[in-house]
Amino acid sequence: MSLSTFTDPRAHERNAYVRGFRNWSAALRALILREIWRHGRTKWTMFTFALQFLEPVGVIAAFGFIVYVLLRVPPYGPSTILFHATGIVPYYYFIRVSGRTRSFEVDRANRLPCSDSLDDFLILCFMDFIVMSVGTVILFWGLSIFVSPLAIPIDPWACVTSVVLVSILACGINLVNAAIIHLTKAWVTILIVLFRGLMLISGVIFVVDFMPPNIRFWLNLNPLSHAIMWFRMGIYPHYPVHTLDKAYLVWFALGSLVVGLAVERATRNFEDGQ
Amino acid sequence: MIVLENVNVDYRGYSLLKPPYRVLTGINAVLRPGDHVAILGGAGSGKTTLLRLLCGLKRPSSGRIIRESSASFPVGFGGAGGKMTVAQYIHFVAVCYAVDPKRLRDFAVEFAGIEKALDRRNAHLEADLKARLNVVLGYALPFDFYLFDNKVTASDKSFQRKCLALLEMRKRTSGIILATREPRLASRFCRSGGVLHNGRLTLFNHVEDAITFYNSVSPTEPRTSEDAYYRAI
Repeated sequence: MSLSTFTDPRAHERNAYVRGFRNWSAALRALILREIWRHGRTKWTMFTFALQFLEPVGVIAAFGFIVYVLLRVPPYGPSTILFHATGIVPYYYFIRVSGRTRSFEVDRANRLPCSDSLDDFLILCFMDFIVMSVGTVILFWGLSIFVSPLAIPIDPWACVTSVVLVSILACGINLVNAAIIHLTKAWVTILIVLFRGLMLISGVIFVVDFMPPNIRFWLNLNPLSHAIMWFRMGIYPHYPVHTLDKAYLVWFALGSLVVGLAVERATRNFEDGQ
Repeated sequence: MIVLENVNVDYRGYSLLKPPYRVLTGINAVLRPGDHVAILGGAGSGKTTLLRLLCGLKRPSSGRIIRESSASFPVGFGGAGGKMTVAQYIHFVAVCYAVDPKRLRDFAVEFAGIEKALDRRNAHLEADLKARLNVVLGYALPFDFYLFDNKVTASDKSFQRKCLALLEMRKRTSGIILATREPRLASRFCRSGGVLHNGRLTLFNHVEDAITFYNSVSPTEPRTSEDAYYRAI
């Protein structure tokens, strides 16, 4: 086979922007393929993707069981399982999308020049978002059949907006974490503890509006509690959302993304063994 | 054409308190298609950093790089894909650079003899096979400039001969930029040259002038193992 069989179809594109966009889109396609292959152990791709969603499902089942045994009454609505599912899902969007910092750091040193380290990062976040979204649709479809018909959202737009904003928030925080991990690897261990603790202060297992005012004030500083309220608003027709501040969540998410990108830019040239 | 305008590169340590370490200072260069340029420099002079800048693996701390021509990743560069199989990695590289994956795979199999390793993970490959794969992918893809970091071949004699034949073919249609500390390698493959010394790049129209200047500022001998490699090719 001759080398002349390989020609670059983009080489003769005159417009530099079009050529650049084609290069970029090809790199993103390749990165998506790489992520699919990395998750899958060759023939088990779909199974390993499904495994990623088993943890939140397990947590929902565990919380549902514990609350049912101890209290017998769900914190809100007719179903304990459904209530916890509506809290766990946005929380796990946050955990999954922001939890790939470490692999992003590893990839940074090994990437090909056709893609930027930010491309790697975007694809990692995007793939986690897609996996979580597919899992969420299947989960709520199952819940609507086996647990409660309420699981079909009355306002799907509210649910979608909530998880999109949570993912944007997670992206920004992920970038900041990547920079901190660059300085100290111990941050990974601290993050695991912080993220698990976040579940207790985000309104996953209780209704924020039912809390005393002084506790409610502190809970409302956490943008994730607003996201969970917004998500539940799309599921329950009369869910109490007096303290929900949509603008706070939107600005917090966008602000964290801007800060994350700025931090990534500022620390890009830190010594990284290259 | 690749143009470097007053490019500086700083490396920061892990400590925010320490000042950044400047690797490259005020690099200005114009590389035209078809140029065969050797970048000579001692260990730690910034040759690899300069190659990483040229191919886009690294961004300058300040200054500007205008890249109107495509540049390869350094031939033999490992790249990503430790968890991918060899076949998947070849497919990944082909999609990245818009080349037919099947053709690229056939070429790599035929050229590097890696048909038995196609279903193995990159991370589990022997060093020799991995080096063959990375070198062959570097040569196979179409670029306006091919970059080399100290080596132009890998593996055993017969593979080295095939690589050199490929290099000669590529030289006819594309430019090459060879970063090395070995003047013999530079004079064999390049027409013009540059010397990296104290973070600054001095360019010469003839590689012999670059070698003379390099020998005057950096009289150290290459290491024994590398010396054997340079002699062998």
